[in-house]
Amino acid sequence: MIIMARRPPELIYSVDEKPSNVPLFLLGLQHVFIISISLIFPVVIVKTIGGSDADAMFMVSMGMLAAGLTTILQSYGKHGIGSGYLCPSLCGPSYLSSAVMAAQTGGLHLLYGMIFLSGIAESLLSRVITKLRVLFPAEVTGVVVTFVGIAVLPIAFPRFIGYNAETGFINTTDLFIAIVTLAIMISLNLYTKGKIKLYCVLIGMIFGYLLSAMLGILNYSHIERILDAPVLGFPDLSHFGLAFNITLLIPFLIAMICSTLKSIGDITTCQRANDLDWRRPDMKNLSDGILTDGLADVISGLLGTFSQSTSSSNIGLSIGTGATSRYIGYSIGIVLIILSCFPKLAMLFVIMPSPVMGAALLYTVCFMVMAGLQIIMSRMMDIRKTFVVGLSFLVGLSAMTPVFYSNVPEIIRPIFASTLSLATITVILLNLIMRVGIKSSKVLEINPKENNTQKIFDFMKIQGGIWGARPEIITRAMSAINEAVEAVSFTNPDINRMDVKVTFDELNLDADISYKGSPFEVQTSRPSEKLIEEDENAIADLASYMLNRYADKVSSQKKGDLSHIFIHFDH
Amino acid sequence: MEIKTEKRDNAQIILVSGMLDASNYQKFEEDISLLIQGGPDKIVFNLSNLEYMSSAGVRAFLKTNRTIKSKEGVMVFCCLKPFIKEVFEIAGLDVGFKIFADVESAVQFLDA
Repeated sequence: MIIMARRPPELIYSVDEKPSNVPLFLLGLQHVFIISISLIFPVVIVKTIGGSDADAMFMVSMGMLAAGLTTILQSYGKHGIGSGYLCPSLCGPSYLSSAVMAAQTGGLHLLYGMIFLSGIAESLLSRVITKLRVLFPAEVTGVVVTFVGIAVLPIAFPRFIGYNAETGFINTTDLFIAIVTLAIMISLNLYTKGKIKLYCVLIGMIFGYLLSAMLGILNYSHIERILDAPVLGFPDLSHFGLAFNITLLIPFLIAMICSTLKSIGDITTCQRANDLDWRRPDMKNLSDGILTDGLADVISGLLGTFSQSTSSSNIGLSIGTGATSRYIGYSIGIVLIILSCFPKLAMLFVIMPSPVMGAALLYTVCFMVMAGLQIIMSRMMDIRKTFVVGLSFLVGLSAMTPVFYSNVPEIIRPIFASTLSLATITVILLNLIMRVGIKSSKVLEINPKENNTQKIFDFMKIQGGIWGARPEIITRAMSAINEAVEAVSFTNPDINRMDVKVTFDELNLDADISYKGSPFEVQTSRPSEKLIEEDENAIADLASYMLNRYADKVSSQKKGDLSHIFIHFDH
Repeated sequence: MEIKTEKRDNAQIILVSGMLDASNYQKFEEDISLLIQGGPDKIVFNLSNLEYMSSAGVRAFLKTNRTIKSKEGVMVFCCLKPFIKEVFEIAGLDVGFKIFADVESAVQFLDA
């Protein structure tokens, strides 16, 4: 269930709004084109093990069916099933290297079996994910989301520039088509409004197809493949089957963790995109979304296809076009399910020209990279987080030079096989290591007779950075604590010591200000201007009132000879 | 906390920089009182460089306004940073005082 959220004004269709039928279909179709790009993964795996065209077409059809079913489930968002957001599923890149390993070791049935097991593991993990919150603060989630975009580069960029791995040369025709396609998509997004902006990716891709046909990239042989494909196709039961191998458990569990973290980042991005007041991930919603992500792999294993996962590219597309309605998810699901039974229609996506694929991927990756960076920067940074984020980026990017890790033991090679998995493992480990020595509370001693504003501000800024707190909460806390100190100094001019104890966890920031003096009076109404002008002591009442406005809760208490002011902020 | 002044048309622009709190609000009141003594009766407080203001600062501005009003003068504010704007709203200063986005608009208002 989605908690009531404030609708961002830039959205054309927000999560709960249903477009009318024609835009609903076209928006869904736009997403299906992006999803279809990932169908190259099953084709890559089948070709790697020398499988048949029938094997490839089966995995592609079942991939469409699995993506369709899980996209609908993810959009559902009720009774603990799905996040309720437009969070389409596609063949997830996190599993690519372990999938190739499984297919080479024991054939496609072993791949399906290990994906099935990973799905069960992820579903179980979803039930305890809220307790593992310490493992993925904003900087961890943000790094993972950023690298989800970066990890698409090895697939997107060669296609964009027309790179031929055998010759080492760039195909300038491909590059031209890709640049024009991307330029059309970006121009339509920047300079148009309404429906044209909504369909900018689809329109760009259509132009890309046409340009490819004009320049000979798409030719009659592609049309023949469409004509030769059967109109209707139903699953060949001989392809179904599950096998298991315990030696593949570790690589698939690592892939599952990467995929789960990526999905946490994706669903977090959806939450953020649909709520102007977003402050932190909704953990219950995340848990439901991850459960469905796990069920997606269970379904994929049973149907006999590649792992399904939330699609960062499609989420980027929905943000980029301002259409985040969950009803588009239903439209996507229905189109994909239908396409899975019509090989002729599916072939239209299978023949997508490489440069068009590259352009569409680069377009959507921009939004994923920015979403990740925004999540990282939504919290205060200190030197520890600088190292956590900085080192994770550098280590993650090192996977772009695979020769560094060519002698890594087989069992952990999947970690080093992609920028995403390497960055993910690095950021999780660094976050845990760097947490050593961080205390959840700190005390500042002050002398109320001195000028303390800068001292309080510096203390809170440092602690805010250490804790990774939200900057706007730290600003309010600094101001509230200063008002409390000033108020006490007015009402107790003789005291020369106050202790400010500040405590933080992900959900709460609390200050306990203690001193030996008369109890503090919490003011809930503002003193009149006349009173403030005429009576200097009224500053204390104004300070108390302002403190009460800055904080979410204020109370005072006398314990023995110590008076306390308790200030609470919801974080 | 620092104060700089500039004359523009018939108005006195007073640029307040730094922090205005319990440690310096009395000095601020004295300095402003000297500035406006027998001087201009149209004041623009430019708060573009004011980083922080506590309740003591609110009192300083209210007391200054009382002094200016006693000479039948007018005082306005301009160029508030977001945090200072929030302080004004909490303290109710946004109701009693005119606040402008820039110095030119404030001076134009005082000339009218």
